[in-house]
Amino acid sequence: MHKPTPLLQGTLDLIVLQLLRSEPTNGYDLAQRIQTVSRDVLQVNAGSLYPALYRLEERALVRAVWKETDTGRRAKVYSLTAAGRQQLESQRAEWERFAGALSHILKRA
Amino acid sequence: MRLLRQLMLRLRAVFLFGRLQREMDEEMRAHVEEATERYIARGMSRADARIAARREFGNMTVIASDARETRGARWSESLAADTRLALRGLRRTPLFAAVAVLSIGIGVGATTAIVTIANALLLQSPPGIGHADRVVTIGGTRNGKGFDTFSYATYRDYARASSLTAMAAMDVEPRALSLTDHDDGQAVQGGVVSGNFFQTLDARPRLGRLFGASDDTEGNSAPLIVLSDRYWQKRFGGDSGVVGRTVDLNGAPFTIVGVAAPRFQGPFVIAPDLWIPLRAWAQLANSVTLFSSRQSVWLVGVGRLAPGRAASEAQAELASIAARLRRTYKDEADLDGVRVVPLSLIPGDGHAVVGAFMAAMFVVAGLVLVVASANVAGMLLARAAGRQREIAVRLALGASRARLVRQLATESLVLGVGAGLSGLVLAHWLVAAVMSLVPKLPVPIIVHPTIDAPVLAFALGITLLVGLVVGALPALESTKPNLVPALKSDAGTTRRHRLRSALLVSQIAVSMLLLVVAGLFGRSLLRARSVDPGFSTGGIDIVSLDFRLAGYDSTRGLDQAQQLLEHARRVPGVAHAALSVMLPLSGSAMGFGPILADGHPAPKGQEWSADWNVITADYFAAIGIPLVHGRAFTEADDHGGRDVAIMNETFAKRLFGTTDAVGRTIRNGNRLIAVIGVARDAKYRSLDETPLNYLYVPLAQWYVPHANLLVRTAGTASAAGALRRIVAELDPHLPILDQQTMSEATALSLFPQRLALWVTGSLGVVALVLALLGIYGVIAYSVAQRTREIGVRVALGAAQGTILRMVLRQGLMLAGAGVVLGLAIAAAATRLLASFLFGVPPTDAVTFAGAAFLLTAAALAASWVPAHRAAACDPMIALRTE
Repeated sequence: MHKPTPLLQGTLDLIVLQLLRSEPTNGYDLAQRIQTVSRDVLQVNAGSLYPALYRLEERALVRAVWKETDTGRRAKVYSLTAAGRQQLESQRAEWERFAGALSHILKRA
Repeated sequence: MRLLRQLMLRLRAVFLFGRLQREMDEEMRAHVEEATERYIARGMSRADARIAARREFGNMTVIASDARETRGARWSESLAADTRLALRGLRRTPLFAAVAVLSIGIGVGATTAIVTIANALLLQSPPGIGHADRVVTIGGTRNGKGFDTFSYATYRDYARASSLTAMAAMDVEPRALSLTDHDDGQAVQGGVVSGNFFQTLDARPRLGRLFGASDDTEGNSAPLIVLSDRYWQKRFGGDSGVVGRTVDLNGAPFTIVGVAAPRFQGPFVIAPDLWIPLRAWAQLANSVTLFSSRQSVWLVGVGRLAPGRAASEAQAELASIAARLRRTYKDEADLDGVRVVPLSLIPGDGHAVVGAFMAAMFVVAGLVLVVASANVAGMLLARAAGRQREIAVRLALGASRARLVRQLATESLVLGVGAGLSGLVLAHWLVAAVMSLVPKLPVPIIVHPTIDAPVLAFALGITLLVGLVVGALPALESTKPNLVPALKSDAGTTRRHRLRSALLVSQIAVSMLLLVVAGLFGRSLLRARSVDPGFSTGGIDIVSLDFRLAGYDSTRGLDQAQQLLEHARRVPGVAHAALSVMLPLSGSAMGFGPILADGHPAPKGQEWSADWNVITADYFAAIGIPLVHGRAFTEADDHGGRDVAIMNETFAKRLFGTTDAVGRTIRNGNRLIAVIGVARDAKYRSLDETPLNYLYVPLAQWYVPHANLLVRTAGTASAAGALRRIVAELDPHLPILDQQTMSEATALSLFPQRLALWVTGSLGVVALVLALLGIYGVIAYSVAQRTREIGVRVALGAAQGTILRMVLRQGLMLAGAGVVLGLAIAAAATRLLASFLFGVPPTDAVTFAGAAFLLTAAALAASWVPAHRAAACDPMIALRTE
């Protein structure tokens, strides 16, 4: 098993926004889903996830409500705001341009 | 919207800090528990699952703190931390904290006190008046100036103006009346007002009703009284049974219909005890001309502006009415113009005079605030310098400059809050003290200086301003990212030291100005006190009476006056008793003129005139004015005899070229008056007057119904009680209008100087103490900085005296610079005070030299302790420091 790759700086916000786009999720599930969706390549620890969530909440890109989970526990469920959706679109476009340029360089040069 | 939401979240973070923290904890705990459950579901034991989940999650405390940082809680948390830090730091240096808080507190307190009083006198509307912003006061002008009275006829003409929905008229000053209610007559101040007065002011009764327009018409001159709440409490003990009761005013029955709302006093600063309608007063005064003649000018007006109309429109409309009246009545007209001004306790020109005085006092108090601020800024600078190393280390370790500035600024803010609070307490106390300084006045003047919202806003604003200015300079200066010298050694302090010296020099200069101003007022008062008024102020009791109030005509009045004097002379201890219409130096005067003296024409373009007084025989002995020629009046100088007068030396010299005017005659209208005596000059209107012409005439020949009974007692015992009894025995309906001693009666003449000295003197002392502290601080700090240098000097053989002189010279240089600068400022500024000074030029050499000496001496004293410490320096220890 490979060692999980540490997150590239600044990409966590993008990942969180993208995952929240499909459905509202609590912190634990979000961490799990990052791991699953990235096929275990990316691992996010709570120490970066929660500050990121609070940062996004403070910038009004996500909002949070307390809800009951399937297991009957109270959990804080995060969802995307309109502003968050906008931010996601622009960040994703930027990321694709950046990633495209980078792979271009890595293949050609 | 997003901005708003962010702001809300941030505020929530600040105010709901505890709740957010709990939510965060709960969320993280939930995360760990969720993970635990999953591990258990995968077959782990509960204990292992928990450990694994915990391990996976990481250090919860660290994460929580990181999360908190992003939450915006950092700001509130670090403010709290900074405040705690600042408080701890200040507690370590209690002397510094106390001096800083107190000195700025004194400045804030003094300025706030003055703003409070100015606000009460000039800005606040009189209490109990509805929609006061729509009320104007209306007065006549002479040559476009003043706030004068007009006639009843003119009032009727003005009242028709369409820019006013209502206009009421009132006698400009309350009238002294005698109120009898099953007992002796007591003097009251009666406001004489038109029937619609209360409606126009939209006033409310506390009890009963207020009289209205229908109670004061030509057909219905109802004798009604509305009591002021204050008088109702004082005289009737708040008894609600007074409504409907009939009492006697000057012997005529009047019915009390109600009590005005608490604190209501009408539109002006003079507060009557009760109000009666105009026509009821005219009946009481038995005057027919009060309503008919345009020459009878005795009223001022209050008006309520019509909806949508401005005071300036009312001014224009009334001015055109006044112009028409002038055209119609020509010489009969009672005025040349009109003045419509917004409601103010002090109407007309008095407003500007009081305003100027308050502004001058405010500037003085503001200077103290400046001095205190400079001083505290200097201390903060030194304090920051002491922490230079600490700050440099923190900057080098990566603390942001903004963070450090914020921390230092918090310290200033904490000081500022302390200073603001102590300033408010002080202001409250100062206002009470100033109010208690006001001497007894002949009319009841009532103001309610309160620290209300605008005053609070002022105090808060000025405290914040001072806090910022005082705190910003040292904070910016000491966090200059100039690390290397600060880390290396104690160097790099020269510039800061220079800044502090500059602050000190300006502080001393302003202190100098304050001391000069206080000195000028002090010398004024001394000069005024040492002036011989020409009569004695001690041992004289005065009772003021008005024979009209008991309904006497002149014959009865003279007869009663004679009996009064006889009774008074029989009181044990009484040496002399006399009646006198005027009291010298009490703020009023009568003019007598024109006077002709055959063969002695007045200088070109003028006529002889004089102030005059109406007296009885014993007056000169009672008041202690010697006669230099001739004789005093006797009881024989009455209506049957020829007209006689006594003049003062100045008038005699001006008229006849000699002080011995006995035997000469003067002429006033048809009356030929023989001069039978010459009295020594005295001060009549004010202590600093140029010699005035003065004439005395006997009461028996020039009957005036209102007079003061003057009684000189031989010992120290007061005859006041005995006089009260005599008056009551003579006629219970004759009220005593006022009772005082001669020194009380003349105290008013020096009140402005006394107040000014009290204010500037106490502030001057504060400034001096602050200068002392400031100099001490700078010199002590400089000595501490130069310890090594001084050590070297001593080691190389410098004598103790040399070191001592070196340090003292430094203190004197700083003080000298401040003193010279202050002298220059003072020389330019004190000219503005000339009109408030008495017998002292605004650039009085003694005062200037005295202030300079005082400050220099203070500088020497303040430098003495650090100089001694420097001189006693042990070179071994000194060289080992650092």
